[in-house]
Amino acid sequence: MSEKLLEIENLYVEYETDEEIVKAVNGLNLIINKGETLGLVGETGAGKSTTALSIMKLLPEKVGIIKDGSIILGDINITKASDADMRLLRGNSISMIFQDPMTSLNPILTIGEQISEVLELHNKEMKKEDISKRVDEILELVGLPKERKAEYPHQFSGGMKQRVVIAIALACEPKLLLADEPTTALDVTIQAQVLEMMADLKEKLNTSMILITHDLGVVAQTCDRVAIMYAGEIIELGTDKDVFESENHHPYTTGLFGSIPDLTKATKRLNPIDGLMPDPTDLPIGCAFHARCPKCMDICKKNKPKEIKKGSHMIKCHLY
Amino acid sequence: MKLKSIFCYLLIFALVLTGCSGGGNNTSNTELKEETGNNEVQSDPVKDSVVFSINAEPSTLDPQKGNDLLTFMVHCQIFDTLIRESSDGTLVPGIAEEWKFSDDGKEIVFKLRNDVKFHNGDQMTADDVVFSFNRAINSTFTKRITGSMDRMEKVDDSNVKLILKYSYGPVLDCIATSNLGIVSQKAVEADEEGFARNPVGTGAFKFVEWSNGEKIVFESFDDYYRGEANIKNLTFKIISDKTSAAVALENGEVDVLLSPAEADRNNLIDNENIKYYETESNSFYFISFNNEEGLFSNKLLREAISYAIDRESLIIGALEGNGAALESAIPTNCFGAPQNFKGNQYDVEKAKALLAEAGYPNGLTVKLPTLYLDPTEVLQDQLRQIGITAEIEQMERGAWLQDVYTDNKYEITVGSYSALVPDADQITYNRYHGDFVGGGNNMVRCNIPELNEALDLARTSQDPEVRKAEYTKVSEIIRDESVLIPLYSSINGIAANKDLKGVQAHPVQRAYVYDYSWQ
Amino acid sequence: MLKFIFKRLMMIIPVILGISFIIFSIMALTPGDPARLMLGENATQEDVEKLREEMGLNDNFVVRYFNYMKDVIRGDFGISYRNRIPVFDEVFARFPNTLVLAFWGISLSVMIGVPIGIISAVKQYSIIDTVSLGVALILTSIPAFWLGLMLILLFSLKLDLLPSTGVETWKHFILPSVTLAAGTMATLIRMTRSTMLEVIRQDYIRTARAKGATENRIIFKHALRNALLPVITIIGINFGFQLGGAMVIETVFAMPGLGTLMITSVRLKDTPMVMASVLFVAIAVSLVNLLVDLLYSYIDPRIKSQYAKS
Repeated sequence: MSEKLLEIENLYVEYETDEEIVKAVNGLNLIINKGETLGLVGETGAGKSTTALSIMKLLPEKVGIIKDGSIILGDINITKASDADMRLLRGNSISMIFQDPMTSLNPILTIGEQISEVLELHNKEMKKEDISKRVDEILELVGLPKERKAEYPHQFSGGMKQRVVIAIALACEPKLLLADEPTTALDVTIQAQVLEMMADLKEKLNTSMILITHDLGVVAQTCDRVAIMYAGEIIELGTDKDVFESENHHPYTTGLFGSIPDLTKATKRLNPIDGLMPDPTDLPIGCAFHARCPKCMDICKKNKPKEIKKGSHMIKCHLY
Repeated sequence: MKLKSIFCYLLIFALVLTGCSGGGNNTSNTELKEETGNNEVQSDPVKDSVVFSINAEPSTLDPQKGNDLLTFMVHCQIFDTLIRESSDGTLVPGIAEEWKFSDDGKEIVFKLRNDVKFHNGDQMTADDVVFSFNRAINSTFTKRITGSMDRMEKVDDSNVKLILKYSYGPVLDCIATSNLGIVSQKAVEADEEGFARNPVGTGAFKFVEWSNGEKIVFESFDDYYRGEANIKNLTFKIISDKTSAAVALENGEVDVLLSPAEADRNNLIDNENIKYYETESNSFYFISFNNEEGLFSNKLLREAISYAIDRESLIIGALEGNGAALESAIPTNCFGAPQNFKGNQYDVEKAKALLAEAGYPNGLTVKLPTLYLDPTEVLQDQLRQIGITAEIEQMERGAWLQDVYTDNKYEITVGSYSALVPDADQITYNRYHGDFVGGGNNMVRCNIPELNEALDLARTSQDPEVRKAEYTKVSEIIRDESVLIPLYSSINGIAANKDLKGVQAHPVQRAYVYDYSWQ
Repeated sequence: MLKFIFKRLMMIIPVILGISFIIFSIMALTPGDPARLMLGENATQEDVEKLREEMGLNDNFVVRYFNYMKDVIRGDFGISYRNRIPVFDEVFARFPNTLVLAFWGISLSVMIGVPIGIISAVKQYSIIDTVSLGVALILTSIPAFWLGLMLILLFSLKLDLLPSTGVETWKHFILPSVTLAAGTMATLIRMTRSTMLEVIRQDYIRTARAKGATENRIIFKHALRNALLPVITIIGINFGFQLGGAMVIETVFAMPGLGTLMITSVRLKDTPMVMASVLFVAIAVSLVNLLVDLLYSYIDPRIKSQYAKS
């Protein structure tokens, strides 16, 4: 039995602007265990990034609000934690890496400075030489020559920048790493390298990871478990085997897999899922997917489906 | 952080620089080896110092190179003349104890005092006087004053003889101006150019230092032949903005303010701690015509305008009442100004009639270049009443001097003259004599034989009554031919701390700090 | 890098040539005769002509320009028409006053304006933000001479705390510097605010937050240095303007600086003085620009490599 690291219960997150309220996350439940990689999959706008930002409590000030629910990391209640408490966690117990490595690094600081910064923030008593040594270690770990630590971000390529970002994220050996589409902005060959490196590090450091992506291929490669998000909820959750090989699926999942172009078959047209994701400012009553669902029933229009569990597989649908 | 330390160094550097430059900048004073007392401006002046605010810098401290009223005023403190103007305006002996004219009025012999010293300690000799006069006579800057003089000769160690080219009525007044201030021959010959920045004279005040654009400092000369001045330290402070100067006077930073602005006049008069002195000046404003060419060669047209001018309204409109109407072309305080002279009186109907007679029954349009916008605007309105549309062209001084004054490319303009010496000759001869048409002298371009004769006679006659009569004739001819239309004299003002006694306003802006004392 | 500096210093030469030609032409071709202005209205035309000959004013314009530049290259800027002293001495003597005034004007506006801009940005839409923007608007709208006079009336006349005119002591620089700073402060506040706002929204700020950095650290170490670049440009430009002589301020406070010197010299058509003052300012401004560019490279390593490449 793996140990629970992070538990999210009934999370509701909204973005409140002057004009409208965007309901980004609606009743999300999720458990991450120690040492496991969870893939968080969904279309753009499903609420994946919002979930990750909520865990870090980095939602945009005044606009992003955790309306309800709880996020508990180990024995710390993140939803109730103060700013000061969160600062101790960020970079230290939980790290996050973002989508675009080109803009994620401060152009006027050397990469060495940026990596050592996270070490300094969380290891106040560490001596300068020790920090420097550690920076060298980490650079080596991510496959970058330590002689280049006095150089600036603009002197590195995209792939190398992302490695630096990863180095920063893992410097303090966090328990949980949130990776928000870390390879989307990189080309395919580099993507493979980076993913391999991340898997490697995960092994070495026993870090849990939530990998947010919309690329099912990446998920299959690297993740232990998969969660599929739609309109702010997790509508299907299970191990790799559950999601990729089982017979039962949420109609949305079926649609997703169906829409992947198959290189072996010759088809005239791709099979997208009909319709668009509902407007988060105006969510439908009942199941969020019902308007596009080929298997829609009357009850779907009125009542929200519950989470139906079968072993490690969870599907949120009236069908089951 | 490196940035912080750079900033700190810059801050220190700036403070040091402020400290250095804060002391003002001194011109190198190599000749005057004495201690240059740094006369700091204090807000509570010591009772033997005077801080005098002027609104421009004198061009030079060399008396033979000065040519504007402000510069002359500063020179008065440093240099003496053979004949001195006393505080009531009469001429009295100065460096010369007495003088005698020859019969034909073309030679004057002066007997000099023997107790006059220069600021550098030297005794003043007859040689210095001869040197100074000849230097002035040969200078390009002083023609107005020395035009009538040929040369000065030494008779003996106590006497000098001045030889004139012609008998000149106002010659004594001219001798009393600072252009003929006596300079130290030795000092001038040692450094001709430098003398302008480091003068040596015999006057009540001795030069100490000149900070360009900021101030000129003097101290009293203890060996002054009339006795040391009451005021021991004199600083001329240059404040070009008149409002700032008025504020400085009100809060005690300066003690005297020469020519306050019109706008501040009432405030200063109302201020209990300040006394305001005024007098009619020897400058006057006029409408000038090009009598020779163009529209206004037509006398009737000129005459028409002379009847269209309402001087009282003009003074109220342009100067808020601070002016004195002038109907003769000679300012009131000048010798020769006719008493109770009447010019053509304001009469709109007559003006219109003359205009029609001149050939413009429906009026006309004229271009009116000017330096002085306020009076010109009022005039524009007065001209409109008789049907003349004047297009005002406000010009910059340099441009006006070139185009209008020198080249006479104009038909009608508004200008001003000032008499450097309170004598009618100074403000009439070159201006209206046919021999001097154009070229920055006779800008009305008139050549009237009777006028020329009257001017010549008035200039050379030795009989004051004859001179006065001729100047009355001059005024009449100018009026009758409408050569030029005098408008008004300005009022010269000076404001000072009420405890400073001896302050007087002067028709040519002179001030004699020697007469000042603190109560 | 040194090559870069050297090249920039060399570029000052064409600037000087261009400016000197333009100014000389303007002075020569506009109406107004320096000899007449020197001798005054009461001088005769012959005297004026004589002086013109002496001064070489009757020579052809191009000849005069070449003669002038010939002397300048040897370091001789000529003698002032008006008071016959070497022009360079006068300009050099007055320059410190203008420099100190400009320096304090800029420093005050930076020391007050930049922090206010930062606070405004960090606390966007709060009361502080609205108030500072309002103050900035008022400051830009107030004419300098009015503000100067008001300050004089208050601090000099009513309260008798500070002197109103002259440059004797450091106290004399307080009111003028404040007046000068007020004008430029407004731009700085707004510029700092807008660049900070932009920078704070950048991804690398988010990264810094994700590291657990405190707000202060984020503002000062990460955001500010990045936001500084456009702000420094404005500071450089303003400093350049003020070196050109904050003429209005120098006049109101009766300070003998380059500004008042230029005004009087232009009025009197004292060409050598005008030329020297303008050239002096041009060189100073060029140097300031160079300094600003060097500061860029110090702050932003990307620019540093660009300079090194060129």
